[in-house]
Amino acid sequence: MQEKIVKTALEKGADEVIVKIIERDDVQLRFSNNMGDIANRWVSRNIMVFLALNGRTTGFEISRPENMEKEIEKGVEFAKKLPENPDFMGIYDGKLSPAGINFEPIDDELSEYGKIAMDSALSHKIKRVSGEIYLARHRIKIATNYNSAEEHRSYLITTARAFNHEGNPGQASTHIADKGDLKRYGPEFVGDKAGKLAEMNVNVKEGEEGNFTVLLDPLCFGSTITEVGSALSAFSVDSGMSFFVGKLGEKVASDVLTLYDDPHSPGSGMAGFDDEGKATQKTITIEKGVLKSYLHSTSTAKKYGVESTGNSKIGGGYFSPGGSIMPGFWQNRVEPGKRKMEDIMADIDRGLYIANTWYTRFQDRLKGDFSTIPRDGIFYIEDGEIKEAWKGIRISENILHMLENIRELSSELIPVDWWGETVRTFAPYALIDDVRITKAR
Amino acid sequence: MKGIAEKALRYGEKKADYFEVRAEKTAITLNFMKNGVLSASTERVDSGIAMRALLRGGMAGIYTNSTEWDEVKEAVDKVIEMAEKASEISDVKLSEERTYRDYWTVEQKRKIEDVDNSEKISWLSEIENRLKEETRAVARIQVLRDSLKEKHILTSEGTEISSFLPSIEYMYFIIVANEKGSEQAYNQLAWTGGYDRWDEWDPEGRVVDMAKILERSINEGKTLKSGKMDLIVGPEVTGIASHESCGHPSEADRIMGREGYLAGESFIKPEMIGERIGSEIVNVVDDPTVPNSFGYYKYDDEGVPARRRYLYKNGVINEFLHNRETAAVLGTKSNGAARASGWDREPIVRMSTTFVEPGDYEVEELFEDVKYGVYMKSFTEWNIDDVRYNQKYTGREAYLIENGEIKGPVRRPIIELTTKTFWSSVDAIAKDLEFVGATCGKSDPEQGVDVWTGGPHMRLRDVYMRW
Repeated sequence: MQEKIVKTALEKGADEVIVKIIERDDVQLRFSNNMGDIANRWVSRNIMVFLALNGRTTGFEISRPENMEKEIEKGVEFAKKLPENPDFMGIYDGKLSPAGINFEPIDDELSEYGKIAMDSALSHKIKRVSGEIYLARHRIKIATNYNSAEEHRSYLITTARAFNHEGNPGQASTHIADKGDLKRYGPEFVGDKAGKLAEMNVNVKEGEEGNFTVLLDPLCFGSTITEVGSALSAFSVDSGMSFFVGKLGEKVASDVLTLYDDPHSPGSGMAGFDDEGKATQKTITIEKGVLKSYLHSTSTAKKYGVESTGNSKIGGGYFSPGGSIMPGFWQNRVEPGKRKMEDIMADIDRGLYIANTWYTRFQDRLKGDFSTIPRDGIFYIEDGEIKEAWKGIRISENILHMLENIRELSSELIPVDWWGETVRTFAPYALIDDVRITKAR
Repeated sequence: MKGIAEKALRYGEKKADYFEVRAEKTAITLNFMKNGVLSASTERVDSGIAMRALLRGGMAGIYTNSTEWDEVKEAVDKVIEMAEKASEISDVKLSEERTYRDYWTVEQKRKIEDVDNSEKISWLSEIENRLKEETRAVARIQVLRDSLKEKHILTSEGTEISSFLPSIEYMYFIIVANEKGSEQAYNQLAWTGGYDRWDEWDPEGRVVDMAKILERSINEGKTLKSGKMDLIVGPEVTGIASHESCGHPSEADRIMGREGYLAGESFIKPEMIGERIGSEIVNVVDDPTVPNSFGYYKYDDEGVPARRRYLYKNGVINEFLHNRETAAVLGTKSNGAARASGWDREPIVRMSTTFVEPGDYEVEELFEDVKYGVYMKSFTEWNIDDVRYNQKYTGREAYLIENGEIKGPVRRPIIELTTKTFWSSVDAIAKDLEFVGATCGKSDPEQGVDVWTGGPHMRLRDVYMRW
């Protein structure tokens, strides 16, 4: 099918064509108050077409395959009337040798996973638990006028949020793609961690303002890294919307931070090829605090005079709308440190351990000024021990200031992924100095 | 499309206690301009059907874009099987509601179908040219999206609602920067109806003005000493506060915990109806029937008629937003708040147009007896905790008020306060009323739905402002 669409588009006048087919059979179980809420399933096939014609580009979906020829004709005619897109400099025209990302897929045993997550959370002193089990099963087929390939991308996201008898929560959320990881980071791990955090989150006091040393949980640090990953897209940089604009080769973080885009590890963002039909690669973006590379498509790479990093995506959403190819991260992977979280915490004289955060918003994307709201456990530490639980605080910071002040990263590396706040990341615990905490008055 | 939906209903209704089919087909045109380059221009059709089955307390949903009857039939069988399995761990009920058969639409004077894409691109180019020539906007993103949505909702109880909804959305994001610093602005101008309203909304004038306002803020914006002072907020700030600290905590699914692991729960508990949360003059409503509003609908996605809901009435917690599921839990009736963002999502409790009802004051009167304070006309960064109590709004366009007069700009004033503090500090509400578009996020998979937020100017006394 995909090759036929490419051929037809070329016949109708297109110069370059990408066809991406996503065949989806996803299942989800949502639960709250220790009960199931709804079981969902998505069975769909989307045929996305991107085409270039005399320097003009457009994208569309073929809604009825039997009308394929007419729909392509319409797309070609639509493209002819557009102005040229000077940012488009062609798609990948080399030979595709996809990286193998075959892992043993996870079975559809959602009810069972749900019970495990709930039971695991409820084994702690908590009252109730909510969450989800989401199993994505996607068959991805790509064809261009140069290449074609297909692969199966399947992963499991497990989220649990436990609430104790005071109504205070604890949360955990992971992504795994290899059946072998079920035991380590699957429903039992997630439920247990959420339950443990909720159990700790008692006798909660109003937090205090000030500048603190903070130990961020992987889920929380993953949120910071998600923002970093997005800002590394050459599209964000080229738009002038990234705090990494003009900083290539410069020190942007402390020596302890090394960050990769890693599409080959099993997780929710794994991919053997990108949407231009180029093999994906492991790209080092920040090495010992120095900004080494942005993430590129063929076009942005040509504009910046480098090689594509295989991060092209035919997107959706405002800043990456369908009909265009833009680079974006696959999976963020932070190089872990040497010591365990407990040992790092033991060295904190006065600080906070923050389990999770949400609602990260920037008031200045170019400079990196933002705030975010910690949740699911804020613990005040004195002399290396948790003394009390807090609430009502906000991190009001500059992201580059935070990156510069990372003192240590833990040896644990957790696959975290939660609801767009923390996306497709492998993150350790992070100890960061001089973090500004504010609160409502 | 309606034909296959009816066939699916006839087949599924025999197998479930409740069966619902929602078929949607949306024609979308989108243009995306980045710093003058048309990065994307696309025309596409998005269509599919959602089916929900309730069987012995087990609720299941299936979503498919197949138009082949064999595949749709298989999907019906699957969703019934899933509902049966879900019944082992679930006890979902739906409130009893009247059934309706109706068709509704929103009129367009200048139809979306009649506007050529080249004209839309020329509008964006004109705005881009003025931004480049007249302002210091270094990053300029514009998105113009229009859609024509055909929808059919059919239930095993006999409801049959069809609709056709045209809508238009213009979004911009700009960063203005010079040697003294940078400021950013993001806004959505959006409505239901046709392109006849484009000039009325005047995107070109608004964006260019905003870029100039940001530059003035960079060049002249003062930083004041943090402390308690009076605050006058513009409709945009009134609107975001209405949405975040009244609309969201009034969603019954949050209150009952169903959204707990995502956007969170609510500081409001079921027994808090009647409790004071603000001053007596505060009336915050959610109303899907505001003409041409971005979140307009006549019936919700469960076929329940839409109506105005008084969430905070005279400063008191008054009513929650319900779909049939939450209404059943609390032993009440749905008030028509069930919305799904598309054919591939389940209907959950959502807002539409959330705003403060206008008061008695002229806008000028609000300023008259403010000796020293801030006028926060609009905002950039904002956030709120997951029970919707601790919130922050950072001013984008803001001015110093001295002895009743608006003076020069102040830069990035911040209020960081609780919901009760915000609404209790309101001592005067003006007669004006304005709305802006927004996309409200909730649920998993994420459901971004079209909404308006808005209201009049309001005066808040003695609130803590920080810089």
